Amino acid sequence: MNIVIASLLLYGAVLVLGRSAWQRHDGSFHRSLQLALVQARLVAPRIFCAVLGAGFIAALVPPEAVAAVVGGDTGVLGLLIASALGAATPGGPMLAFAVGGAALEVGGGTPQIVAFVTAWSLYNLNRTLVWELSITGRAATLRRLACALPLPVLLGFAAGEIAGLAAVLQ
Amino acid sequence: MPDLLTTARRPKGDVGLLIVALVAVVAGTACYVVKGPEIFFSVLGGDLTLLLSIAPKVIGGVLLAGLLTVLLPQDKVARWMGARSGLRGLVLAGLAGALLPGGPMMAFPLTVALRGAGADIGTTTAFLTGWALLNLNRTLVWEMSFFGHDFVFLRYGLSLAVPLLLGLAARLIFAAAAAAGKEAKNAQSERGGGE
Repeated sequence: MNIVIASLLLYGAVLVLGRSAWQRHDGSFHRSLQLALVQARLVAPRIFCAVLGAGFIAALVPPEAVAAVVGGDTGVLGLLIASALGAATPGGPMLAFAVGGAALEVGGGTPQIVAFVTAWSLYNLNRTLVWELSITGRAATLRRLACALPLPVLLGFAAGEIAGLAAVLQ
Repeated sequence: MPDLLTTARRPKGDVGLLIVALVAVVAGTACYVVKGPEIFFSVLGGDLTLLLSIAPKVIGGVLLAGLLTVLLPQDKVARWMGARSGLRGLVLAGLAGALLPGGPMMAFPLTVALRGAGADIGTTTAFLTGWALLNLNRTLVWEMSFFGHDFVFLRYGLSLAVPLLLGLAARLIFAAAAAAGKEAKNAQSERGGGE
C-alpha cells in the first residue's frame, strides 16, 4: 500500500517538474536527465550491496539480541544506544534505512528505531567528518551538533508516548 | 556557479561503495557458512525481491533529484533567505532543506553559499536540519521502501517542527557569538568564496 502512495507522489512530482523543465526550452530538461544518470550510476551499486548486506546481517543476528539492545522495553538506555548506533552507521540512506527496517522487523522498538533514524539523519559520523567538517568548517559544525545532540532521544521518547497513547485510545 | 555535473561526483565515493560491498560479501559468506545454503538462498531471494520493488522508486528518485537540481538553482535559494528573515526565513530554510535533492555534496556547499549571502546560524541550522530530517526525496524513495508508512508518518510528523526549533535555538544560543564574529566571518567568506 505505502509503495503505491509513495510511487504516485514521486512520479506525480516528476511529471509536474519535468513539464516545467521542458517548457523552459533552454536545455534544462536534458541537463536534469544527465544529472539523474550521474546519480543513478553512483547510487545503484550501493543500493544493491546495501540491501544484500542488510538482509544477510538480519538473518545472522538473532532477534533476541536486537530486542535486548534496542527493543521496545529498553527505555532511555535503548534510546541512547540506538542513537549512538545511528551516529556510527556509515553509508547512504539505503544502508541506514535497510538496517533500521531490518531491526524493526526482528524485534527493535519503534521509539528506538525513530531515535536510530533521527541520529543517523542529523549527525552520522561518516557524513559529518567527510562532508560537513570539511565544507562548512569546525565552528559551524560544532554549533549545529550542539543544538541537534539531544534530538534523537527526544523524538524517540515522543514516538513512544504517541504509540502508548494510540494503544490506550484503541 | 559550480558545475553540478562535476561536483556531484564524490571524491571518496568509491571508498564508501567498497565498505558497503565488503559488508555485503562478509555477511553473505558468514550467512552461508553459519546458517547453511538453504537459508542463504532464501535470504538472497528475499533481498532480490526487495531490490525489484525498490527499482522503480530509485529511477523516479534520481529523475526528481535531477529536475529539482536544475529548477532550484543555488543562487536563488540563497537570495530568499537573508540574515534578518525572522521566523519566515527559518521556515523557508527548513522547507528548502526538505525540498533540496541530492546528498551532502549538494547540501553543505549550499549552506556555505547561504552564509556567504548573509544567512545567519539560525537559517543555516534550520536548512541543514530540514534537509537531514525531512528530505522529501529521501523519504519517498528510501524510507518508504524500507519502513511501513505508519513508521514513516510518525517519524516525519514528529520531526516537522524540528528545523524551526533548532534554528531558533541556534539563534538564541549563538547570536552573541555570531554578532561578535561577524566581521571576521565576512572577511573569511570573501576569501573562501571560490573554494
